[in-house]
Amino acid sequence: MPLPTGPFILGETMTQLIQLITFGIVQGLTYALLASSFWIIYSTTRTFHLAHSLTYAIAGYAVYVVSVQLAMPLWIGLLASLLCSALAGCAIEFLLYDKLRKRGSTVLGIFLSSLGVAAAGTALLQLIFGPMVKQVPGFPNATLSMGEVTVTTLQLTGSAAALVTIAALYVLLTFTSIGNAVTAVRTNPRLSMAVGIRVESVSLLVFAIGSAMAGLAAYFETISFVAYPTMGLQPVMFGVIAVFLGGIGSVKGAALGGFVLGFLLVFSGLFLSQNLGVILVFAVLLVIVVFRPDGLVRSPIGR
Amino acid sequence: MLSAIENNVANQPALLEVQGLSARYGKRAVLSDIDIRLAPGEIVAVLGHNGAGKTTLLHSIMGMHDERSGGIFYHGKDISRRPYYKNASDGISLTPADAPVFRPLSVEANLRLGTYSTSPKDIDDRLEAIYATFPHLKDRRLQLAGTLSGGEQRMLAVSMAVMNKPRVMLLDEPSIGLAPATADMLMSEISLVSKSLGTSVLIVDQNVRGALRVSSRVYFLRMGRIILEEPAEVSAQREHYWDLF
Amino acid sequence: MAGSYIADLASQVAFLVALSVSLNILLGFAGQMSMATAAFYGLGAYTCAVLTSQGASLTGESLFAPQLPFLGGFLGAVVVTFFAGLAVAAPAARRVKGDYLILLTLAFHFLFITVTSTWVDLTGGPNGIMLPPLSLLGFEIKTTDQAFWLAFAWAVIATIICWKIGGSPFGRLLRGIREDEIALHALGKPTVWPKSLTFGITAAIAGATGAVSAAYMQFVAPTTYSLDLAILVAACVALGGAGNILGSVLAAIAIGSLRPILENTGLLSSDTAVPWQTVIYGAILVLGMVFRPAGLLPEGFSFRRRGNYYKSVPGDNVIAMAGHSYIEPSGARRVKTPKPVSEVVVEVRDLTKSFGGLQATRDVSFKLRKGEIVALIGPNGAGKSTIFNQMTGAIRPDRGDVLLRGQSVLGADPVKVAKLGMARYFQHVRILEGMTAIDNVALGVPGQTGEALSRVFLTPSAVAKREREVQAEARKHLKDVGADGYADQIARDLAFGQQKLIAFARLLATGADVLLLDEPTSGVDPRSAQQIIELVRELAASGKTICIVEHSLHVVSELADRIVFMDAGAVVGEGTVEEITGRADLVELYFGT
Repeated sequence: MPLPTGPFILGETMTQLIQLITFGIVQGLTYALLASSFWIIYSTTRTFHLAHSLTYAIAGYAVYVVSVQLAMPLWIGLLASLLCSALAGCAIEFLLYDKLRKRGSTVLGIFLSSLGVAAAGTALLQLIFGPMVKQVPGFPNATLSMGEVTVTTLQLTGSAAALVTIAALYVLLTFTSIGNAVTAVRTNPRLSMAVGIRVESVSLLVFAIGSAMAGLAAYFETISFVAYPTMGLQPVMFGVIAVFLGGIGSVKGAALGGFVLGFLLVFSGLFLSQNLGVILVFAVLLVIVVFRPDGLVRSPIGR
Repeated sequence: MLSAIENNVANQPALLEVQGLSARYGKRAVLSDIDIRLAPGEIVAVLGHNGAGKTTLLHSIMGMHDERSGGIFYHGKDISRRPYYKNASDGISLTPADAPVFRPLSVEANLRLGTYSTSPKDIDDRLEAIYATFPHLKDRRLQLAGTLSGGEQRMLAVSMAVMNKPRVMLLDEPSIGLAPATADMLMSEISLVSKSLGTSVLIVDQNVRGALRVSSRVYFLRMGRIILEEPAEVSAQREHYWDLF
Repeated sequence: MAGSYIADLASQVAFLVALSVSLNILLGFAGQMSMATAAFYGLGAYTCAVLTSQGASLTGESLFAPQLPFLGGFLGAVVVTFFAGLAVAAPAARRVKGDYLILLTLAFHFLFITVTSTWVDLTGGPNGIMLPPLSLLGFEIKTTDQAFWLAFAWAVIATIICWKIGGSPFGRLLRGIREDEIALHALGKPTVWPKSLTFGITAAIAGATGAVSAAYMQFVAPTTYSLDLAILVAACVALGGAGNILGSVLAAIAIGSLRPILENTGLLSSDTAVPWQTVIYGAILVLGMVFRPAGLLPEGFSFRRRGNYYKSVPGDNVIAMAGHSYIEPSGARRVKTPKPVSEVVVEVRDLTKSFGGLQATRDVSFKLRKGEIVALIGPNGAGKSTIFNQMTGAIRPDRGDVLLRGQSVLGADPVKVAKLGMARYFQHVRILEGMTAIDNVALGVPGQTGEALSRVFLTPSAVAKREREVQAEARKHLKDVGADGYADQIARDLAFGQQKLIAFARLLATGADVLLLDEPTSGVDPRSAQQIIELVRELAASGKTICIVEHSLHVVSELADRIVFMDAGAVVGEGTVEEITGRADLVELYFGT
């Protein structure tokens, strides 16, 4: 554990604190991106889309296939990640969830089918690519330091991309007519139908957006570390927790939840051991779910 | 006089005609064998007790309720299998009784969403026209709809429908929860809209007297069936409606 | 451990069977989704490993190691997982439902994985813990063939336990919880403890299975208890048929045998057989949810009864009744003979409630007398339902009181109020759709021995005796409402009018003498409506105290001895049908000005 040890000199602890804050921001933005990606799908379609983890892994393998197997530049790999994840998400919605809803399936039935897709898809990835992890090298990764505080260009790029994407989603939802249609379906599906908004189309749209956002996160994880079949499980899980932590009423809540989660995990490493950090997250989640089920950010005017 | 009105209506081709409509929710039968006609520019009221099936009737016409059978004709064409978004873009609008506005969106965003199915070019002119009628809404155009009072929300809801210049307006309890004066004002506005745009209106309400004042004909719905159809002025003569509810 | 390949595989299938039947109690019967199956399975395995190991992991770190014999470890696992299950259920059983439950159990899974892989001092971290060779009651188990019989025996025991639970009145209660908790509360059945207990039992059986498997494999490590396993078990329950124990057993055997079959066809190596198995059960799960959501053997399925199980019910079809007229000449209306003034059973005093700024009810007072039918009417939003909700304890009033036979029921929840004899009938019936008519009614019967789980196992004969009485009583009530012809039909398959009759039989089964009826005749055909009207009259004549909320004045005038007219949350008039309909001010309130 990288705990601060030895005599505490003010300057040194300050440096460590700034370093931790930097890590917290990097982690927090990643989780905020994941949370927003799950939130837009969950809050609009009320689907507990656990197969989001499969979408994530597909994006990871997409960049591997394009940039390593086909030896194309990394930016084409990025496009492939975004495209493949969006397509995967839309396919699951169009071919499965939409049909189940129209057949009057229960929430539980839809969730179980989501589990089936996640399990089968992940296993298929393992059959196609083998159980070994896949690396995608080539991103010019330098370490930047300001005094003792360091951050890599990869972390910086990933954080900036996450921030820009979340901001773009906010702008889309708040200022465009298509974004208003999403908010309309999310908060009042019946009136949406009455004014002629095609609910099925909006559902597909949010699956495309949310899945591409997960694809972006998966892209950065793959070029920073590796791709493997179950890579989506933990990030999506933390994304889901972040959504319920922050509140399902708005994208601000979900993103804030992700940010808080990232900071919580990083800072618990300072004061507690790493696994106690996860216990802390669980405890916070429990308290929020039981005592403040709307999450940290409540919608001011309700639904 | 009664026969004169009937002749008058019968001579006009119906803009909207519901024939033998039955609807259910799972095992629960809500409507059975409903026949309703709506002539161009006509305001018709459907009155009945709570749970009589009024809302289901409007949802069925709009294409928002699938568990049904029977014919729905619009401009003489059977639209009973047409989806709701086609109906919306083809001049039918529905204003729900519950949650009639998008609460987390601004007044102006709500009005613009009213035209979502047609995306007209003159949307700004239409906005101005609404603001001219309801200066109240103009003052609050950037305010979230959820922060408006009940009366303002109803006004906004009806205005959202008007934005799309519909041929047929389906209004579900437009005066519910409104003070009598506000309800009167809203009813006369609806009547004016119908006259100026030539829009036919099917209005469902529990405020029997208020609905009778603006409509020309009335249907009474009880336990899912039409039990009576008569001219509004005849209905208005009744002392009470206990035996029809 | 030396032994045959087949025995080894069969043991793995046996563990899967035990996990599936236990999850079925929670997911299939009680309708509570849990993603924590693998975590409880692992928790049991680790508990047993820590308690029985020799105190050294592979890496040689010293562990907490009491070195108990296997039975000690097994019991430890049962106790620990039972309480862990109760702990997870604590928020779940009270207010957390649906998606939140999935979230919490998923989070618990991740918590378990993190702790086992990082708390090296206790769990050996990623390297896991070695267990000593298995010995049971001094008999040492040396080969896989011998160990299989242990696994097999445990699977049989787990199946029998779950079978007993499922078939008992407690199991019926669980199915009721799955269908509609609010309906159960209104019948005077509490649901929090049964749900918590079920969580605990499911966890304990999974934990015990974990203990047996740990001793069998002589090794535990975090990777064994993956989320894939949780999904696999859920798939077995869903595919076999939720609420059908036999289905779970068969599905677990079928899916568990996939891998060895795949391996032995020679097409697949042992490396690819596992992912292929996952692909296949994942795909079957998806297809099953689309094409056969009730599973292969649906609940209540029996090979013997198969012939008539799916038979549709000749129902009272509304369309067939279309010729029936609703308008009756007013002279044909029932002339009510004034009833003698009887004792006051319920007194509502000054009930006042506001939600935010909205005054829902204001100083509402009225009395209900024995044998009398009182109708609560008024325009939409007058506060009639809010009054019912305050009377049954679903909403706590800001001010005022509700007296039942002179005793205040203020502060009691709907379960308590129903037990005290004031029961509610819901507008949309809240029938337990997935259960038979007779089960619906049986759930209404109070004082059932078999609804206490301990009695199911400790005094089975007393439970069986009481259950025979309950069945007889339920049948009698069905007969009383004229619905005994479809006692064994699933409620979902019945016409709405028949469902309403069953809801009445259920209400009568509670033994309540005050009946609050919310729109008893809405949504049914004229013949059923007439049947229900007759029934309500008979109930009043038999001494029940009845209050109805009804929007159809037609029905009100048929039934009510007295009307309480409400507007904007307050009582504005009270009297006979004639008195109320004759008042011009009420006409104005009801029909507008």
